[in-house]
Amino acid sequence: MSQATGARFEFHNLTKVFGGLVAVNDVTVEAVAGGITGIIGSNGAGKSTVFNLISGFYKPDAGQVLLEGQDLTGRQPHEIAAAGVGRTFQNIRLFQGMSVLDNVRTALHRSLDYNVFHALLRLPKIRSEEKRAEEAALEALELVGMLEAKELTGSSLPYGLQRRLEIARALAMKPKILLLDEPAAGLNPGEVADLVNLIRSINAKLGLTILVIEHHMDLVASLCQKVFAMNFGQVIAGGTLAEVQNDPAVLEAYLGKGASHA
Amino acid sequence: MKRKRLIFVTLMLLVSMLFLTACGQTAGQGQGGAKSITIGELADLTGPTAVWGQAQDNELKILVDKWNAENQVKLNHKVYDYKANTQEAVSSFNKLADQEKVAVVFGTNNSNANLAFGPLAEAKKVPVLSHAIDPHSTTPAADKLNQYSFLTVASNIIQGKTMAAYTLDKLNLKKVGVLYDQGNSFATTMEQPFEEYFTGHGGTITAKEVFTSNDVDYSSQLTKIISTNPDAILLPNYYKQIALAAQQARKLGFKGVFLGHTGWPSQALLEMAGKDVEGSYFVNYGSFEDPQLQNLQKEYTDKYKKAPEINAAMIGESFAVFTDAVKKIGADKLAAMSLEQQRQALRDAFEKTRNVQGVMNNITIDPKTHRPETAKMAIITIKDAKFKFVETYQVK
Amino acid sequence: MFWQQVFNGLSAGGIYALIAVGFSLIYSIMRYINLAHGSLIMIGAYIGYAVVTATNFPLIPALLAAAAGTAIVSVIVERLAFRPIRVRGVSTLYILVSSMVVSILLQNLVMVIFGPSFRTLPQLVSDVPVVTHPINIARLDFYMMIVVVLSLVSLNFVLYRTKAGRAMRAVSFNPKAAALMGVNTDRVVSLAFALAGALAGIAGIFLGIKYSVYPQLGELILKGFVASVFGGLGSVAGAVVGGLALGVIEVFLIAYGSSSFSPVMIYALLVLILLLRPRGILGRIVEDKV
Ligand SMILES: Nc1ncnc2c1ncn2[C@@H]1O[C@H](COP(=O)(O)OP(=O)(O)OP(=O)(O)O)[C@@H](O)[C@H]1O
Ligand SMILES: [Mg+2]
Repeated sequence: MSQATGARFEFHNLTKVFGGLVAVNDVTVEAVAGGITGIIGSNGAGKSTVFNLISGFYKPDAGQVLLEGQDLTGRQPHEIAAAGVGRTFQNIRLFQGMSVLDNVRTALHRSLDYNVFHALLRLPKIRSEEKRAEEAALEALELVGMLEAKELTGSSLPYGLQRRLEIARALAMKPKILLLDEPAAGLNPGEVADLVNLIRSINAKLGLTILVIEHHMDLVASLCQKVFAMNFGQVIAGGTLAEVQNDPAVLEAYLGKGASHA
Repeated sequence: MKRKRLIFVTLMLLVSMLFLTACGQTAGQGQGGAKSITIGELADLTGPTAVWGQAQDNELKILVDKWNAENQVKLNHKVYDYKANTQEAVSSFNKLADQEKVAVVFGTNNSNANLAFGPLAEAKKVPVLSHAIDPHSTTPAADKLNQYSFLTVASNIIQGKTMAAYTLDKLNLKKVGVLYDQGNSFATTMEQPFEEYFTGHGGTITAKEVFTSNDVDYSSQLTKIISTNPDAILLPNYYKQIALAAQQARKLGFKGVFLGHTGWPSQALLEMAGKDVEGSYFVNYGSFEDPQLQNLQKEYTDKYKKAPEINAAMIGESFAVFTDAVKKIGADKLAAMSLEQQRQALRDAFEKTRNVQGVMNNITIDPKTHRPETAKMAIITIKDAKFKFVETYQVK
Repeated sequence: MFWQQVFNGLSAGGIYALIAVGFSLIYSIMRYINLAHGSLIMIGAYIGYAVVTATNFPLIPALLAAAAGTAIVSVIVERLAFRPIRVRGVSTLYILVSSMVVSILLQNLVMVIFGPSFRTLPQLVSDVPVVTHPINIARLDFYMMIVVVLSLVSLNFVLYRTKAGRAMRAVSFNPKAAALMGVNTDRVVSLAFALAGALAGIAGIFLGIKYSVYPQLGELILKGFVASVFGGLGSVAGAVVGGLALGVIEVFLIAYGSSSFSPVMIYALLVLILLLRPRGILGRIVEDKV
């Protein structure tokens, strides 16, 4: 399951305009291959929009998304997912009425080798493929430590576990890169600490290239080798967290807004 | 781009809808010479009962052509297709009365349409000759008479009585269950006189069950009726409802006879439920097996290369009443009148119809009800999946 | 008479269930009401009629042909009339209207091709009843119930035991997340419409045999709609329960109440259920998508 080296991932000059609002403006980011890259920025800076552009929910007005040199720009979400981009959402998007196991099994959709006609004609094939799906799903659940919860329905889980389930679901697809949109949002300090350990262990075990959007500076500080700061749709600074935090542009942006994060 | 395409697709859908629903407009025939009388006709040329409307219209064309060949005063014939739809019947009636300026409207077999334009005939003072079945067409309430509406064939009252008498006296069946559409006067106005006559002359109604027009499954009602062990089940409904009821009753094990009225004579009934209705009896206005109708049948078949429906004979009754009135008034005199005078003169003459020989019956219109109060009817049975004329029968 | 009426109710209810399931399937995944479903049933009946009169197929091949044909029509309808609206993300009200237009269009199309008259399917099932004592079970009703049960069991298998079913359920809960899991939502939607269409085709043949084939046959969808609201709109199991319940209740209102009041009673009951339990017997509460 582990990869020798993390995937190279970068996007260049991404731009997205909503009506008159330039939500993302000429953003270029090169992720640390096999490492963890942070994106920070105040509310409405355009962070989630960047993720949505990467995963194909929005079509960029300009720019390019490259995974290991392969151009993903403008493809359908399911194609981008199949190409190896896994992600979680800022607002949890589980399949609420389905079991934990089924939530994760859905992620194996692509890798299951049978179709409806098999379903009607070749039952043994289904059984073996579904068995494989179940094993892979259980493996992913084990990675996030949720094996015991497999029979529960998604909506009945406590918030922290729902976030974990989203991560398990993304991992089950065996992605090359993982995008986490505010994974710590709504968690208590204890849960945040657990989450930090989880992300670190996933990164270590799988050698996965990870991009994480976060407001929790503790989490960013302990995980990210490289950080990009966004403001009004633009990247205003990039480097280590310390470099970024001391960048004049960042200081001005934060002082100007009168907000303090950290 | 996308938006444009969407709008385009929607427009296409709408246009094709309009196209599909708009065909079927009909206009009358061309204007004749100087002296003419304009007559209007409402026919269900399209829609579920189109076979009837077409037979009616085909025969009226024959009759008008014949008249025009033999007379100086020509008939100018305008026909509107009301598609067996009540709203359409009302608007078509208005067009005939106001735009086409007809002196008389030949109505239809469709009772609901007649009930709908009856009040308009009163308001606009346009006489109507219909061959509908519902007595309410001329007497909407017990003490109310539509001054301008006339029926020329046996109403449901005669049909109900005739069938009841025939069931008791000739078929010797004393126990009858009834299943009918409670929302359709086509059925209810036959059921009532049937029940009255039948129970008044020694018969028993063992069960009386109803359904609504859009129902297609009557198994539950039929189970109830069959559990009362009737000799026969009366089905005074439309052919499709009859077919379904007969099929379902047979499936539930009913072995007795079905009885009915003029909703029955339809080839489609035999196609749908041929062997289930075997041995049934019903009343009809007439039968083409009756020698009296040979002439009409031959003329019709020669011209249209297909057999007529009984509606052709029914419009014949109306036309007989009409020509009788025209002759009494004097065709020249009538043609010279103003439109209002024509309408009034025809109405008054229709009311005085006495012993006029129609295609099937000798017609006398009762001035108190504006319809015949007695008529001989054809009794039809179904044998080897075919309609078979048994005899004509007149209730005393 | 009691058991006969129970059977009458279940046999009518089975058809309602078949109608309601197809309808609910689309609602549960797409969250819109497909008013064209009734017309698809009618199309199924005509396909069955055309196939049987042309080839003299017996019941089973005729069923398969109608199911396949209607599934294709259903998928095409979604592609042409619903998808362009869906991808633009505008209100589902437009889809409702579009489905109404499609429904009228299909009806008129059939009217132009086949004419307005009632058609009868050649006899596909023998008249000899399965049993006559203690109750009368017609062979057609018997076969129909077997096919209804088989269809519903297969549907259940597809929905809960295969990846396609899982993907459909996932799309029903969260289409975006499902896409992210590599699920091609367009394909899943097509599959759902194909399944609903196949069920409509099967319902169509049986309706056609029982009640004859005519352009307005699809109006029976009303009963299916009532059944699915009864059982809980958007719940497939609910549609089955609702359909059977509606059939039995209807029959019993007639058998032990009065046939003149039963149509009123059935709708009064529906209103009552909506007031007391808006989500129906088995419905899930529909949450707003975020
Ligand atoms: N679909 C959309 N249509 C119009 N405007 C949008 C859309 N999605 C995002 N926006 C706008 O784009 C801007 C950036 O939004 P985005 O969600 O990317 O911010 P963010 O950096 O993730 O903020 P937060 O920290 O609150 O999550 C906001 O002004 C938002 O209102
Ligand atoms: Mg965000």
